[in-house]
Amino acid sequence: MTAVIADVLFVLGLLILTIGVYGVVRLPDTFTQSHAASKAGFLGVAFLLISASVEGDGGIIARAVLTITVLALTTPVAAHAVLRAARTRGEEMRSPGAVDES
Amino acid sequence: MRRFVSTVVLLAAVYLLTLSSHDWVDLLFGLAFGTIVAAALRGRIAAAPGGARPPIARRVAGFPVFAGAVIFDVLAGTLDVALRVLGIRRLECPGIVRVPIGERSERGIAISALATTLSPGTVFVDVDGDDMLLHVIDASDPDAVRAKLQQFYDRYQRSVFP
Amino acid sequence: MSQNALFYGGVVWVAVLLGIVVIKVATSRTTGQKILALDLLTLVLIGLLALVAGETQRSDTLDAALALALLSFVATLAAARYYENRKPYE
Repeated sequence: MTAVIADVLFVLGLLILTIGVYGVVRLPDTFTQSHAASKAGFLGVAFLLISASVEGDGGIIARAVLTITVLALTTPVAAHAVLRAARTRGEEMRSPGAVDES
Repeated sequence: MRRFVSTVVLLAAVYLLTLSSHDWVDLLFGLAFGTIVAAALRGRIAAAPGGARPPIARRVAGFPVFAGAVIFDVLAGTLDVALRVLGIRRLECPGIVRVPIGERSERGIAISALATTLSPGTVFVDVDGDDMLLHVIDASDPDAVRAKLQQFYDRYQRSVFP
Repeated sequence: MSQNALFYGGVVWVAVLLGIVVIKVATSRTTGQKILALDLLTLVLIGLLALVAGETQRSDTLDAALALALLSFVATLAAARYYENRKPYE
């Protein structure tokens, strides 16, 4: 049973990670890419880590929990820093019908 | 003082998780290292925010609900962004939206920024005066975005991190 | 046996993703996109390390993953700060 759960999480994590990479390649500007890059990537990696720890011993579980916590706290900050830099340096939004209320 | 002790305990917990051991010798070492680090960084640990805060029992009770709401937001947002990336749902009018800070304290702004940025679809860009600037992947209706965030704050966040 | 096939397939798949992200880092137009792609590169690497840890059931690869997560955070922040005001610190 646990093996099935691990495999499902494994495939799901790979799928979300792939969508994140595809989004970075396909979306038009820095602002929209950050949605795919940091966040979809984070969830994919989190699924892979949970999949690794489903059948693992205490050592793997402890490190997986620690890594997921660190990623959950750091990826938003990194995305925010990059976007603020992009906005300060005046990168343009290339998406169709872009809104800018700033 | 309470803040110093909680920092030491948190650092010791991280030390034990990294070693993944529950030996009492390691616990003593963790507490010792934690005390050294916390003492070295004493001036840089943020002071407790002033002002009225909800009672601690209500905050502890509200936290799991808040965390669950954030996790649900992350999953729903990932599905939405995935559909837009794959071209099943149309990518229309992404853009920067002004959201009023409202009653959030400084820590409330930080927690809001973490929660909104962690869920795909919204990224916190900057603070400008009394407004937060958020990049939203579907900003065709900015008022709906503002209403949704205000509702999230009222329902889940206010009782935990005002 | 099928377990192994899934694992090796996953490793090859993630390796292909790594290659795509490296190409994206090299070809993106703006600096912001380059920094984002570099951040994603380390995320994909952490995913690869998690795959290996799950298959071999050894926890030392996850130590590397944790260190990589912390390092990539500092690196991304420094790069973004440098891009924003041409100095790594205020």
